[in-house]
Amino acid sequence: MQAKLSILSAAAKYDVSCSSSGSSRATPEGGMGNAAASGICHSFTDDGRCVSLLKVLLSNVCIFDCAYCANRRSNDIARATFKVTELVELTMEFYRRNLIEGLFLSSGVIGTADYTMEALVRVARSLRTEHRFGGYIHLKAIPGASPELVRQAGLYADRLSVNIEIPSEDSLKHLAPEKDFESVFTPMRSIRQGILEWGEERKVSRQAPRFAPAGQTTQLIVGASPESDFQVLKLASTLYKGPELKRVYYSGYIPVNQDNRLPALVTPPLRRENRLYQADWLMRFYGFGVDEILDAQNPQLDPDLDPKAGWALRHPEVFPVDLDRAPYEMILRVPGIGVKSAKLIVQSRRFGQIRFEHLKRFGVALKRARPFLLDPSRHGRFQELRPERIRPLLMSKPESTQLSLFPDGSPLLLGTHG
Amino acid sequence: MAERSGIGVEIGAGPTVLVHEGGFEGFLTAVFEAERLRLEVERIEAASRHVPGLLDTVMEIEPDAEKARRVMTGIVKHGAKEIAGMVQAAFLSEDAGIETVLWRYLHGLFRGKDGSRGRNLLDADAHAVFQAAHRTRHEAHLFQGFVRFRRAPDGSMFAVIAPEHDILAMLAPHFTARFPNHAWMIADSRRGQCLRYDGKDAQMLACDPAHLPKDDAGAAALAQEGDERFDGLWRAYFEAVNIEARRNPRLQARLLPRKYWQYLPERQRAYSAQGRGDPPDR
Repeated sequence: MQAKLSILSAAAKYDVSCSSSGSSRATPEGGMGNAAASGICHSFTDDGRCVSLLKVLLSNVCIFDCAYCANRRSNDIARATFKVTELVELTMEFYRRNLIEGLFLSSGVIGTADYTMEALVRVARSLRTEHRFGGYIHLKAIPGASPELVRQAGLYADRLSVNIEIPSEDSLKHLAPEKDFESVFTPMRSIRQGILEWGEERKVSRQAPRFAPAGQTTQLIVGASPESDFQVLKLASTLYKGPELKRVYYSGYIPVNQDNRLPALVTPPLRRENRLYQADWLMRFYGFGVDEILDAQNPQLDPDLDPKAGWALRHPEVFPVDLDRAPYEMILRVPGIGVKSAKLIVQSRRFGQIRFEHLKRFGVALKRARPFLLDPSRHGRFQELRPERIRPLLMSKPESTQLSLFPDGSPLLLGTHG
Repeated sequence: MAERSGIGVEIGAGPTVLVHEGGFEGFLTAVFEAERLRLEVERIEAASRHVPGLLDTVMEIEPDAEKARRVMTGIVKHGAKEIAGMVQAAFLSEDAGIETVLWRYLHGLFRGKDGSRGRNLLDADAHAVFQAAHRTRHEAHLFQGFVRFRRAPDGSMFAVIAPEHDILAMLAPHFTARFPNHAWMIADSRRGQCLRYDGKDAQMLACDPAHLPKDDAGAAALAQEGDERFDGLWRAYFEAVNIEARRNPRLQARLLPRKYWQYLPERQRAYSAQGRGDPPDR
């Protein structure tokens, strides 16, 4: 059992999603477990990633041969498959010990997409109905699975996801000959439809079941194919708007296979991944449009500068910001000010004038913010903003390879916020 | 001078140090007395922290439920329900000096200072209270994840924690909602308190810290036979999901601070290595 668990969790670890948020569910009568809307991290591995769910594959046997995947059929690796009862026991016992928020179940494609999807649904059904498990369940929708099975999955799971993996169809077909965008977008559409339909049902009756209440997510691998940051973010932005995905995860490509279709990377592109997450945060929480962050002429994020600082330096005309008067949306755009401190500023300013000492207390990175702010102690005089002089102040230290995930040091943790 | 207040203090003897038994009720009673007697308050502190100073005028406070209740009503009236919650969370931070800051904050609140009903975070005291409450609640949130249950010989589940702030009672609603159908207990080894749930109700009990395990290995020794199977599985899982190419112990230590390793099975080796002065983690 332990060997099986090691194989099937190591095989699932490149899926970066671990979020357990976005769903609230009460404990079923006579059962165990609920879902906390804010998400909970139970531990952090040596790579600093949050452990929230028991993230495993049902099986690492796979009929596909995707170049970027450790489980592709042409790899000579140890293969294993869980029995439904084994997985259910593991989930229940880990949960009872408060080691996890629930189960994240994916799988290699065994036989057919439907056969695999059915097996995933069976695990979720057993947990929910036989064991009255109320904890979090995240299921993968297997590309090519029938809409009916995806619908069943959505009625047991809190969240469903289909991974696009490769951010353009040409590259995807090149690296994963058995896949195309259609095989990914079809289940994505069934999920979207399920969410909409059951949402309507619930308007009529509170008794109607919830369909994937924590929504759907996807993952894009960056660095395995030649797409630019602009292409990647443009795709993400479309996914947030169209099928209303809750999260797009970015996974810096880690070379797991020798394959001449793949770049010969020595280390994963962690800095690029970090910048993409920062840009993603700007789109989701800071009111930025993708075209404000990048465009066709500037398709790559600056590795030395977080994208918010980059925007500010390209737009000296909108500064200085007067914290006593500026709207919240504008305060959010000042480098060094995050969501939390911007809220504190807006809540507090009706009681008096905001001074720099307050900003320090509120957690603002004053060194970064200062050049963009009107300093009340200088009676409204403002030194003209010269981007080329400020830029060095805002640059990240070149030696640090993994940065804070957030442009302004928000203490939120990766993965718990959906 | 020398007018007796009935609680054993001389009024008008200058700045007073109010000493109470340590609980929130005692603190609120101290606030009540300070307001009633219009004392010039030097400090409010728990007896366990009190170091007698040569020149201090000390007033000992007996906790009084009715007086405490009236202070709470006052906080809600002059502030709001959330303000009362924030005050209690800040108190539970057990931060050095927080009770005196709380006193200044409440004193201002009762007088309608700046008309903000306690919400003006430009004020240094109000912000300090806000921060202390935030840190305490944040730690309570972390422990929703960091509590580790083991199965006791009687079949119930038990866990030991040693949080920095006094958050045990704050965990009750979460774990009661999550595990309503079996008995469990969480012990705070730092404060000698236990939160016990019998399948129906949760209650706080005193428990002797001397009898509580010192680390996770100690907790494992108290568990039911066969319980270690899941330890092994959990450790195997924890190792397997790590991506070595992304190894980042600094990030890990920031998100999972060393002070919390003591009772985590997956950090037990790193924790004891640290105790022996070995390089942390492998």
